[in-house]
Amino acid sequence: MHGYKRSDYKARQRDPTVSAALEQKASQWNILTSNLAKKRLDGSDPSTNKLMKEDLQKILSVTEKLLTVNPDPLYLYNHRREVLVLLVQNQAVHLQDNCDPNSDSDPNDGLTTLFDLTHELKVSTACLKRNPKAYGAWFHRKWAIQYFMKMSGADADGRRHRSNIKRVLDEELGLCSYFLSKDERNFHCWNYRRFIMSGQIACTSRGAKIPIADGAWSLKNGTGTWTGTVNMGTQLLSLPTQRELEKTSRSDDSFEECIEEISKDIVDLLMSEWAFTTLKIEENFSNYSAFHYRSKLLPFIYQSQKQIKTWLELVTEELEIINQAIFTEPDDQSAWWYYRFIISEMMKSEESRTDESLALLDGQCDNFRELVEAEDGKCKWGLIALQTTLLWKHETFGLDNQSTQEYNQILNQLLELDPNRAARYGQLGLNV
Amino acid sequence: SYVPAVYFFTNLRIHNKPLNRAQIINFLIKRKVFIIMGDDVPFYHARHVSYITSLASKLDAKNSYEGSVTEHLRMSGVYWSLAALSILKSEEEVDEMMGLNKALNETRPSIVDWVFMCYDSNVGGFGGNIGHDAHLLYTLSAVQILAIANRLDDERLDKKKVGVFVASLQQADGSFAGDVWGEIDTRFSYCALSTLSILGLLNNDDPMIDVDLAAEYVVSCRNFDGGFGCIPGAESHAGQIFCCIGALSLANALDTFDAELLSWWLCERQCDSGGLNGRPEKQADVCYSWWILSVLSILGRVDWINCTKLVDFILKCQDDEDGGIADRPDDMADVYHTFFGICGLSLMGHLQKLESSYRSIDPVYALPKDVVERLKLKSQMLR
Repeated sequence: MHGYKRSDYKARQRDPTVSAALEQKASQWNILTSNLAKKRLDGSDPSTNKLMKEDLQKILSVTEKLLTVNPDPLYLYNHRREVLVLLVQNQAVHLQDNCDPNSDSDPNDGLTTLFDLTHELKVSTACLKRNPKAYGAWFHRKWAIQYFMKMSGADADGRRHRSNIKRVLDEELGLCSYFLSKDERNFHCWNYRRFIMSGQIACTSRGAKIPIADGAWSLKNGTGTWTGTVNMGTQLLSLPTQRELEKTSRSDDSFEECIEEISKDIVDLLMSEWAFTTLKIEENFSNYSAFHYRSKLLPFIYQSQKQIKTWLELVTEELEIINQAIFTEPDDQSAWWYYRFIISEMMKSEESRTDESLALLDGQCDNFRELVEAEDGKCKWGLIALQTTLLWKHETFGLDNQSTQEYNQILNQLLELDPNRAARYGQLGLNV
Repeated sequence: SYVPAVYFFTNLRIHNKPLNRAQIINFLIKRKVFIIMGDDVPFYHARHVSYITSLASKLDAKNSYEGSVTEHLRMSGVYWSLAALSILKSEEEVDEMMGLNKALNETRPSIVDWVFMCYDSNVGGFGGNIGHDAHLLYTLSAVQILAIANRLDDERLDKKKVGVFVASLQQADGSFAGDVWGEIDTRFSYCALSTLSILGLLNNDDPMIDVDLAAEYVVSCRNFDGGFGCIPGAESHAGQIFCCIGALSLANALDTFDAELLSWWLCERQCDSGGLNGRPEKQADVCYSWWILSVLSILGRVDWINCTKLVDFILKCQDDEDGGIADRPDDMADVYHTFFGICGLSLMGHLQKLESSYRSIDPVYALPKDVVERLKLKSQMLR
């Protein structure tokens, strides 16, 4: 079994007390799941509809019990959701039949009280405490929030509803912080954080109103005249670069137009996410997940600050963080991969053939040389970064003889330091 | 030398209990057999075979704890055990030893019969176990089992209906949900494309899905490091990368990403132990021997990692008493890591070096190559 020491595990298996206890647990599980399966069969034919409301409540309590013990089986969440939806639908019919057309109260109010979002989130949290990487538990959260939003008339212009949802989303950010504090690299949690952000964006005055499958939100502008080739939210991170937009013939919804249309609320939200990644990186330079998120926010940050900052200036700022990271923890890969990304993006743009960018590359080369020397030459990533930077310089500006020699010397050093990856180093020679 | 002697004696039993390496050495020393010590860890073929073939009765035992904890993914577990054994044994032997086409005894149906018990004819998909909801993950595993069993023409398999189920899960942006509830993940893109391909529904004139859009969605999951995640914006992870590259291979779209950058990122997953991790600063785990090696095979860069050291790592993860392979040395084995460890050894040609009759694993379909050839399944390889 994944992650258990063999000798311990086998010893426990041979221990009669332990194996009896495990058999007991299995027996309980089997009884509960087979009863549940029977109830599901009974409930599946609407014409017979043997299930009373008490049965449905029992299913909810049993699925909750089972999932908090083993949060992995997807079908158990499905069964639970079927019952939740059925309960709401039954009551909705009842409410509609009894609805007073002269009343001021919002009929949707009744619906939301039938769906206990707080409880569903609680169940999911219990599951996640058991297994913070359970796909089903994270999805159940997303489903529950989307269902709640749909029902509370999220597509109506109701301020009260929006503030309710915003409150939930703020609390969910707290949950994200909790799980990230346990494991900074939990990608489910990072994905969920991005889902919450897309929900926050949807709650802004000009945000999207209708949630779509699995947190993919589509942005509509105030007058609803375009439906967003730019997807915010979990899709937010595939904002096309200026280059990609120019490639496609979507001139009527260019990137600048998209950004201009985006309200200040949304800009603030994304800037705060940018600041969040800065915080996470400064807390721990080994936070690959934070660097990854930063790489996704970068195109947006560039576009939104285009009037006040050039690409080069932005890159220079990023290099400050990178240099801090690599000098503090030279063996950690995170900052090095981010460096490669930043500079390769810079070198792709037309503004790269300038004296400023050449100076930047040279400056970085000096930094890397300094670091490698400080580590007595035993700094693999420093050497790789130096080699990569010299290669960029070679491709755009050309290299003099001394630099070419240095480049070849670096490859030899890497072959010695890192023989596992000899084949890759072997094909990095310069085409002179 | 020492190694052949131990290999020869690997099947030695005393009082019907197999001996481990230390016991074999003692056995030989007592009989004054001259030994030259070497570091080579043998591949415990016989133990792995007995581990795999004894799984079913262990998990099906009344109130088996392991059985109940894993019952929801039994379809995948059966596929892992079948496919693993298929590397080690011939088609006929696998059929006989596992009760694939014909039940072994009255206590359990044949595997193929059991697979069809997990089929939901209303929906057109397969669940993880009897009575469990249809899902793309288990639909793929079911179809893979039927492919290995050479039973894709079974009258109970309504290929078109399964195709409709798969196609119904494609979303407007090309992504795939796992089931009707709507969880999106690039794992499901791979499951969808592979299922359709195995059923012969992918490369014909009347495609049931938008293949190009499916590929476009996968490409939208590309990251700054050349890798891919489970949804757009998600961090690169070797398991997701396999699903994405596998999907792109099936969609004939291997030109949509930077193969060199990805290969570099993947080869940096090799740790000092020789094992591979799934993303930076994580522990090595045997299963990445498959997720990463298969992608490097597709991209033609298996030599970018040190195969000798990886082989050593995998061999050290074996349970030399009861068979099976664990995630890392000295951990408890399970069928998932046993399968992927064997796959890794197969992809690196290590098994075939020991014994030429070992079968090979296809890096895109994760099926024996002879099965892929029999079914004439197509995929794109970069080199």
